[in-house]
Amino acid sequence: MKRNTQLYKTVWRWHFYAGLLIAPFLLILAITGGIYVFKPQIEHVLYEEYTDIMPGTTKIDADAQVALVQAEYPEALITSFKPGETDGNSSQIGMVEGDASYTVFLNPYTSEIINKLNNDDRIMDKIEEFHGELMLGTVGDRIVELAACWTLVLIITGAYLWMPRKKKPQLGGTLFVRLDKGKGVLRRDLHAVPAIWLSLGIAFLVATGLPWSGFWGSNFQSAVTNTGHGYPPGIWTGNPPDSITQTKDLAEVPWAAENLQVPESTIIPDFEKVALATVVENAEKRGMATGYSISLPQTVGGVYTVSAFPPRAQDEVTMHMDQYSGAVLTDYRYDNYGTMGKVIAWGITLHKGAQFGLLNQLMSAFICLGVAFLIGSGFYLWWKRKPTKKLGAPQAISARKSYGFMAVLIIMGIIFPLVGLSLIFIFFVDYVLIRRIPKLRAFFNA
Amino acid sequence: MKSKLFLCLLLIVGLSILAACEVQSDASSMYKKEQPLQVSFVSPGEYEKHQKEKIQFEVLQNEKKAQNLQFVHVSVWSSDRAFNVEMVEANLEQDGSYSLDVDFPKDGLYYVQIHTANETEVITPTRRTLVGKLSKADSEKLQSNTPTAGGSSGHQH
Repeated sequence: MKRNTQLYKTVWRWHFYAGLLIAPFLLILAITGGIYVFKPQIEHVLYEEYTDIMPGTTKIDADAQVALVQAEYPEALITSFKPGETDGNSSQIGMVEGDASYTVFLNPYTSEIINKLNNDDRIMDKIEEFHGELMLGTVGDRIVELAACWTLVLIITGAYLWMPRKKKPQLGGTLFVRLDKGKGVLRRDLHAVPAIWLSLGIAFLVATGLPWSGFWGSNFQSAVTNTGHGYPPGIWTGNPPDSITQTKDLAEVPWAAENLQVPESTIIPDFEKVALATVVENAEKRGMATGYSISLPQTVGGVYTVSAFPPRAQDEVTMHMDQYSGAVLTDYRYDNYGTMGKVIAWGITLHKGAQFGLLNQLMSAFICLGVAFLIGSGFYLWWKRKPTKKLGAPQAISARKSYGFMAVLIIMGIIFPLVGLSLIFIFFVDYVLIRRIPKLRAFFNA
Repeated sequence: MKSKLFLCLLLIVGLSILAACEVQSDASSMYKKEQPLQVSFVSPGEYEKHQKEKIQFEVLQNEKKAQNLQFVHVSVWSSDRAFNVEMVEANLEQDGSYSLDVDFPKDGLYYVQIHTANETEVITPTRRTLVGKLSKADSEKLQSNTPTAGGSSGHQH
């Protein structure tokens, strides 16, 4: 067999199996992603009655709003406060009650608690959870990451299979679908031609989605942050700073031990938690007018985190403030990100379809639709030529005869450790099971 | 088979090198740094009633005495609010520290709040302070998680 034919078969075989295995996950990602890009519009329709209010003349301040919610739900732990983005929006107070987390919508003009919404009931949160981790927690996150990485393998192998091999390349079958060459050709073209058009967009979505993934993304972000060229620590990875007021020991009031009957583990800090009004005043003093949320400290050494992630990457802000004084410990804007941090930030807002508004949303949704179409056309292509009792995979060629391609896979496996792990698994299953059981060997055409 | 074993080994080595990368504790030094204001109390957090007690503190920035402060105010109040000194301008001492003389009327838990600002931030640390002995109510208040509302929230400025 000619070397080129061998390589073609090897690449086809990997494209075939990779496509078959990750297609279900990719389809989930495409559907959920296509919906998620329209989050702002969907959430506005769903929660309009909670978020939109009639502006009044005077508002109660942030502390009074939180106190109102605390009084209404005395057992709850208040975790965040988000002032309305405009005068016509309610405030949103985040809290944990029992095992569930809620958002309480409050009208700051009338002091009315409009509604308490269980965050588990937020449809877009479910869609996001499905998109990011298939609602399976860490296991789901790793599966999504694996599917994303293998999508890159699919793109590389697909591009190789698509590459015109005639001396005089023709546009039909490469850049345009051939409608007049029979059903078989049409089936092939309906997969290969749109795929090449969409491949850059798909690769872009994968590349911009991977930095948020749990395993590769966390490690990648940490590595980039450590070089000084990424996000500053405490935004995506790394810990925020500690409050500095309790410098000596985060200890308790010196007189507490002798005056109070408290268990040793109870810490009564020397200082009171600062009022939210100070946090709000500092946020405003530094130019954050609206659209931010404040996460409240939950530990003795913790900080207030004031953050805003509006549609455009250039408008992002993350500030940390000392919980006992309100002093601004960090104030990171887009301009303070390293070069890679800026690239990742743009990638994220583009991936979410937020950076360029509706046009961006439509582009992202179009790629998602395209992915769903490619999965369908790929599946149809296989189904039509699949033998009855076999899987119909292209024949396996010894790894030694296709070392160039194997090298590409190994490099992918090193760059993306989950791909590496899955390769080890594939090699193991192939050697221990498929090669030794004749029926399996015939079924997989190994 | 040898080639596959080699590939597996290569992958495992690659994986172990790349996995478990964490942000180093000093990574923040490579990014923009703030110079937060900080209040450091010179006087202890315990006083006696009916004495002219001096509450003394320093306002620091970058471990030096802060310059260009817009104001330095002190509020002192008892936990039952029977005693309330609100937003009094602190005295600037010769050594650059600040002080306020207070005559605490009775035993109990008090709060001393410093309120100061420069161009970029305002800070309002509130220190828990003991005068004489702690009452049962104060003791319970200290042990509960309910935060005590601060004296002034800073809207005056």
